[in-house]
Amino acid sequence: MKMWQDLLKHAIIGSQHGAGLPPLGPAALQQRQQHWQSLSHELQLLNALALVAAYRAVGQTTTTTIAEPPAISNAETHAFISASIQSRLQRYLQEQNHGLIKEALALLAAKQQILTPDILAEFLAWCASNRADAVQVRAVIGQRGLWLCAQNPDWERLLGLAAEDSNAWQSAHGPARLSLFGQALQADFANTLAQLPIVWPSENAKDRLALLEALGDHLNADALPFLQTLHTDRSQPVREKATQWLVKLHDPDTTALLQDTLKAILSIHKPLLGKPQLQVQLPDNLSETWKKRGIQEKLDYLPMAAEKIGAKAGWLYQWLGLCYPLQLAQNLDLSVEKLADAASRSDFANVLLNGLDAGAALHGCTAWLPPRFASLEAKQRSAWLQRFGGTFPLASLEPLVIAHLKELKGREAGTFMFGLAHQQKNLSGPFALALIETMLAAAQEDNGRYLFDRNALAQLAFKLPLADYPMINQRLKQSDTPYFSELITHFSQRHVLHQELAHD
Amino acid sequence: MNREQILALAPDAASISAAKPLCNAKTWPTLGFSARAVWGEYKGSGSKPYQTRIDLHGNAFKCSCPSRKFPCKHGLALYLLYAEDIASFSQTDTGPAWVSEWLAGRDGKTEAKKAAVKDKPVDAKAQAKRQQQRDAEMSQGVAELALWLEDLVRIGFAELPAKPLRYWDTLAARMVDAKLPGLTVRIKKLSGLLLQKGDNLSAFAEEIARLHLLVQAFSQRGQLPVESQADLQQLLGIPLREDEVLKTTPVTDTWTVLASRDSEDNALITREVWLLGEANGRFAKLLQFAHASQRQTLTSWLIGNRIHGAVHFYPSANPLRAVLGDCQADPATATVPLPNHFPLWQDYPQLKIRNPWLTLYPVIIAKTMPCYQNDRLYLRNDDGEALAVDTRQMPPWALLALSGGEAVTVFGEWDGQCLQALGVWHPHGYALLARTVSL
Repeated sequence: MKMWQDLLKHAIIGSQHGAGLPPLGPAALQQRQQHWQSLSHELQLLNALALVAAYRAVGQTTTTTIAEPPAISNAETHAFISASIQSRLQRYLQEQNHGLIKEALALLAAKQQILTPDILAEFLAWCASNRADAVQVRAVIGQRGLWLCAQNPDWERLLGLAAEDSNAWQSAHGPARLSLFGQALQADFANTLAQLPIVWPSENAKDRLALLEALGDHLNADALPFLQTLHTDRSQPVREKATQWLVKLHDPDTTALLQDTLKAILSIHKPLLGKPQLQVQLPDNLSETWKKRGIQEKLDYLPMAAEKIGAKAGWLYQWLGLCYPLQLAQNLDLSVEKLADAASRSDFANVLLNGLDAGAALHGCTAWLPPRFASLEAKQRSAWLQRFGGTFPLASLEPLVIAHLKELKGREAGTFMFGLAHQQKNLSGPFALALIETMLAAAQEDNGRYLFDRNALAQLAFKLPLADYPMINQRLKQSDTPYFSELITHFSQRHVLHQELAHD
Repeated sequence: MNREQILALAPDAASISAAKPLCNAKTWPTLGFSARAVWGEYKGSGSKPYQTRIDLHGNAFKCSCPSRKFPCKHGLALYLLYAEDIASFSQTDTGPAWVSEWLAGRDGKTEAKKAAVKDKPVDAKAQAKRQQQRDAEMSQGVAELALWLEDLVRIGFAELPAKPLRYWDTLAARMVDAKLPGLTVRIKKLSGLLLQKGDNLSAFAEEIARLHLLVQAFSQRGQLPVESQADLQQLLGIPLREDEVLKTTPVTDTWTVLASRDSEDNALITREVWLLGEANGRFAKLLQFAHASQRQTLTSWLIGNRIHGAVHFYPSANPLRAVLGDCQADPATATVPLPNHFPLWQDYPQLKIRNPWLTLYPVIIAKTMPCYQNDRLYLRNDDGEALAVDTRQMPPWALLALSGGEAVTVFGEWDGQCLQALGVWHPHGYALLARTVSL
């Protein structure tokens, strides 16, 4: 309104600098203005401001025109969750119980049920700070959720909805992108792999490495041609990871190069007296071929052991980290037990054994574990088992764990099992029961309550097998230890959630 | 009390997290309850267990732990346990001595307070003298404000951003001295307006215009209608006692709780509860205040609660604020009925004519389609006319999700330009949109 703008100009510059007020537009206001002529300039201006402000507020049109009605969400094809599940999910959100939210989302996706519109926005907002769960959220938002994401570009990008389903990962960001990439690989490996060389040049080193790591969960021989092109990648960690995947897939070139290299530097020395030992003859320089394959020229520390290491010993460690221990034993004409024994007698024992550990972990060589375990001193075994806890299936470690557990007592056993369980995604029934027993025993000792972190106990509840819920729950409740309430609460909440969804 | 209501008593989120692990009956060697109280002893890290007790009449807590939070985690955990696992509690007519002594002490204090109010003789002469003194102080305060406003337009708004904070604070403090707390708040807001982005000088000028109108109205207050005088008093911050409001003629209806929202400003919690009369289609707004540490003293209403009975409105040209009179509350129901008639946004100019200082007024916008365009939310009617929705305190997504592009009926507060959406009737029922606002 021009009249208001004129008055505002007067007020901004001040009555001491400005000229007299202009007559107000409408006749009714002018009539009122006539009454103030005798007043000071300031009062006249204040009166005019008050009058016009009220006039504006009463008469102004505050609406706008939107010609086209909004698009309407498509009809849902899946069933909505029940009211009780909805209130349960709202409670989890309110309590920031991320573990249960994730579990509930996975269960709902499996049951092909979708979230009701009442809680859609809350869940999409939750997903923005839990991007790794974008795939699960995407599966349960239904048509209404897709419609809502179309209104919000941030959510659209987060869930990768801008592109077609199979290419959704390309437009998503961060952890959400990786989970969508993993899903795309699972759904259509060949097509997803074909997209990789297209996006590769525009990705930064960190993202290229992350995509390559994600590819590792779905490796098969079809990936070889793409991986072979990565020797020219700009980033050393990317080249290193590509080489690991190539040896894992038994790429002929890389495997032959590795075997030739190891053959040149490793040999068995059989003394007249005593047992054979592994001798190492390291080269003076690292070849360009290996540099292109991501071997680091100077590895300052032995990974996992945090020990200083020389440059050449670092090469040895990295080569062994690529090799399959059984293949190496065969090449040296030894059994795997003798290989472990010969390595432990070498001047490079620490590097050799740690390198073979890494190689075994890369190839999933469980045959390496018993002889390596036997070569360890008793006090080293807990840390070693925990280190490999997340790499190998628990079933392959269980005999070693049971053997080691016999050597431990009280709090040592409790913390060892707790640490080992922390590495696992899921626990078997017998392992879970053994774990509970050792933890309960440890908690009875002095200051036992401080052994177990509350958050870690809550996480453990999501790994315990629900099939053994009655037995585990009964055992936990039988004990008089009050320190595991977090574990009991979360485990029982999980149980209730599964029960309710099963009967829904 | 349900779990949500108990958790609403927590002083902060950390207390809720700390209380959860304690919700295990095993950690409480003693648990008991009576018709009046709940109590328990918690085995903490100290040599003696902590003694925790709750007075169910008024949700008062006491605990022997050293925590300065109120209620502490033990109090919250005990209440949660009582609500969800009452089987673990033993019922008795009277609690142990440490509970009954505390309850007796509380009763004694309440009685003493009541007696003090009742027994205090009213000295009419002194009261008139106090009122006269207050009127004089207020008149002096308003005169100072009038002079200050004139100064403001003399020097010009362009000079104001350079003024130090004390320029505003000094006058605000003077208004406190002059017993005009309502004006203090408005003056403090003025300096904030200057710092805002956008068309801040226009908004500033509007606020100055309203203040000037207030000054003029104060000088002619004797000639104003009674309702406008009441509005003026409320703007100046002169409170009307609840017992006086209860003497006004009540409005009887079945009132449905449409929304409840808490806001916090400098540790002062304000709870606003909107009621809608089913038969008369009138809105009533209940206001409660408490210090953040006394949050539990506020009455919690659930959306869909029905209140049958009398509501007394504060005198006003547009009566809205109210207190409950003789009434009875029903538990919350899943359905919230929409009355046949209700205040519309088109009524706002008329309301504004009656009270030029009116800011927000509750309205219902029926059968409207929420549209999100250019980062703004609108409510579009069939003919294409659209109203803007304020999304600064409430993101637009919940409302959009509930509509899915279809027409819904929205309840909110309208300020003449923008709607603050509070609730929505959608195809599956009624949903609340905003719960808490941080000022």
